[in-house]
Amino acid sequence: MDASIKEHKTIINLLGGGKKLTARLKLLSNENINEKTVYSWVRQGIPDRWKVAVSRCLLEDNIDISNYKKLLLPGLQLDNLISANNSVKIFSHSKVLKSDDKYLHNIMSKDELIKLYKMMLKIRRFEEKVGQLYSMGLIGGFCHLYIGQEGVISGIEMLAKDGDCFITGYRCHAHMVSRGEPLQNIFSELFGNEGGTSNGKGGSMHMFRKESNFFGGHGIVGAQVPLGTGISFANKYKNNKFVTFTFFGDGAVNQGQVYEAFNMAALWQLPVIYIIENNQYGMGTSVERASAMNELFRRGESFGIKGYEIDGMDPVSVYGNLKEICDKIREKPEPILIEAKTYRYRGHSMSDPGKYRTREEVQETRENRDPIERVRALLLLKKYISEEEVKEIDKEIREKVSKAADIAREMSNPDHTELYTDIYAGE
Amino acid sequence: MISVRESIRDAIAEEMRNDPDVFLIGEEVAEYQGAYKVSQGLLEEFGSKRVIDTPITEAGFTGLAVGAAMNGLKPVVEFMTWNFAMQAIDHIINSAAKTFYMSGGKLNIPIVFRGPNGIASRVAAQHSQDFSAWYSHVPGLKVVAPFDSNDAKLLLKSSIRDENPVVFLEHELLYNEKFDIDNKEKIPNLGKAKIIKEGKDITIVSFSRGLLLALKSHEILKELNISAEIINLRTLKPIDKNCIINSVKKTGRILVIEEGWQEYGVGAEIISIAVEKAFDYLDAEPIRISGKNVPLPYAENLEKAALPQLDEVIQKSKEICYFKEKNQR
Repeated sequence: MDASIKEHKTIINLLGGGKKLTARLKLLSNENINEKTVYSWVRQGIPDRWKVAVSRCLLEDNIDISNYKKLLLPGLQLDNLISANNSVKIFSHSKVLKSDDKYLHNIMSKDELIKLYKMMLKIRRFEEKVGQLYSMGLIGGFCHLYIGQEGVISGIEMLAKDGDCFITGYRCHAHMVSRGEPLQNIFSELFGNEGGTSNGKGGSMHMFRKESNFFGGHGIVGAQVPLGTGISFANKYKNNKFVTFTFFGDGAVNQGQVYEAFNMAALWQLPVIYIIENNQYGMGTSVERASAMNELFRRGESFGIKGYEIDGMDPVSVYGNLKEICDKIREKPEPILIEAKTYRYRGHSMSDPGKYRTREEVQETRENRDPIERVRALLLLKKYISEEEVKEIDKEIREKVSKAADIAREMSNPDHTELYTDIYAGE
Repeated sequence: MISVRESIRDAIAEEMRNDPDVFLIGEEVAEYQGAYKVSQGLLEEFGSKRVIDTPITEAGFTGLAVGAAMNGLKPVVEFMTWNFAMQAIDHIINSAAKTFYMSGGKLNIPIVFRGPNGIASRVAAQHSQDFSAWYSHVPGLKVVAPFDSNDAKLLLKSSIRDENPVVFLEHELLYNEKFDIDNKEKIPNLGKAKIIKEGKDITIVSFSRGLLLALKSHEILKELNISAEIINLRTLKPIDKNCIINSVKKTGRILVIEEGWQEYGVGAEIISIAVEKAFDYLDAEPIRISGKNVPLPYAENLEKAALPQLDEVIQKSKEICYFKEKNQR
């Protein structure tokens, strides 16, 4: 056995043997590597393509990698590996909903789970109604629905504290709902009626709720990222402990200004959480067709920003994972990058032809990964609520949504004088 | 006598002393003391929390500053030159200028974007452009173009106190110019022009460095017995229409000097105002003396030729005043 193979054998043993290493490499790479393959490395040596991943396992275990020079590929910079190691995948603690999943069972109280459930359901029913009204020609312009992604904002809302700040792109109705804006006002804005959140001057993509620190609602893809960074800059300047949640999509991650913002956030250690809501398509372009490096949670690595991938379809996991992270950065500010893997059931906007994905793909996600179904199942499983109550909650929310829409529809258009107000403040 | 450069610095310093939410951010503003030495001494007085060096990242720090303004601070953003703000123009217009309106008056953006605008000296086209017309086109922005030290100090203080996004266009070639400060003048509201020379035969409107030419012309025309009224616009947006209209009603003639390109420019706007609102008072065609419609060249002679010329001003003024040589009126 030559020296390098001998060394590789030692390494495999150090990392817990073939079986353990296989599992770790699967997690790390997302590739379905076979246990037998890894066992064969004991005799044949670790192939070059796996050396980087194995090196990262060594680093994770704090094993001095410089002792194993034969493992290192020529030209491989150890420093790069170390910083790459800052990005750790956190896999959903509840990938499959199981009754013996202790993490899931204990992380949220009954009241919290019910609140979470109601929030998601409210967003869904609201957006469904919006879709319906849009199809009837009652809502103008662009209209981007959040259906399918409810778990992301709702999980985060459950851990947010008073004073925390929020900003997002144009897919912003859900954030208005979750931040507590009365539904009627959001409907009014969508209809372009008086009483709308922006007096009918913003529409679907530009909604704000300053009293809950929701800073919009921005129509230019990626622009909200420096803005959110600035909001967190102000929080640090004022020396409060508030966190800024800056949302953007997988489409926005290739805008240059996102990285300009990352750089400053890392340079100045700003208390900002960047949340990539990866719904897998930027309009009709899949992540694979748009991003050369599509592990988006690693996009902050060159700035030393820690990145985590979470299952955005599992709001309990969103809550659990982010709560820990938020508590830390309130005490010691730093930017964090979260990639929430999620999915939108509807088109990019209401005019989406839907040719870029199959109906089966959408159907499969709806049936197996739906965030609302997931929490409903948990509530029933834990006997927190009965089937009867589930129906009751749904009915109540549907009624509220319908009523809000009806009232908003009856409102008149904004007065003509609105045309010339709110151009300049203080006048 | 105090230089325009120092006046700008003094205005920022005074406002920072008055209001802890005011801070200065930009490239080389702190340790380097300002690429054009405008921020000299500010780091020493206010520390690195409030005088902030950024990386070279215009889109990023402009967006960041607008975000900070949304969340209650009052940033003063320095662009090393306005040419570089092209990288950040989306945030100036889409994020800053439009948000108050789009939010139905919920979210105002109190921010000042400032830095040297217009031509510098022998740096060619990418570093020499007048953006006055660009920003003055946008509802929601206020645009200020100071001329002398008094303008620079008072208008900048007013801009920092304003609740809206203000584009503050300084001129590099005026930084070293020294002027008397009028201690009696109060901080004006933005939107008011100032008549700096009264006259009765012709109205000459200009702003920023164009006023050097206007003032020289005033002297020369005076010798020709033509009495020129010189208007310093001070604020380009909102523009002081009444000042222009009233002056034209008095003189019956208007000539505008601007360093920027003529087509679709500030001069076009001012002359439109005069024609629309004082048509019956005009005794001659309105005149624009502007930068030539070319990217600014590098060679000394070409650069000079691309700018508004004193000769042009005098010649055109004489023409529209029906001046006849050796036959003074």
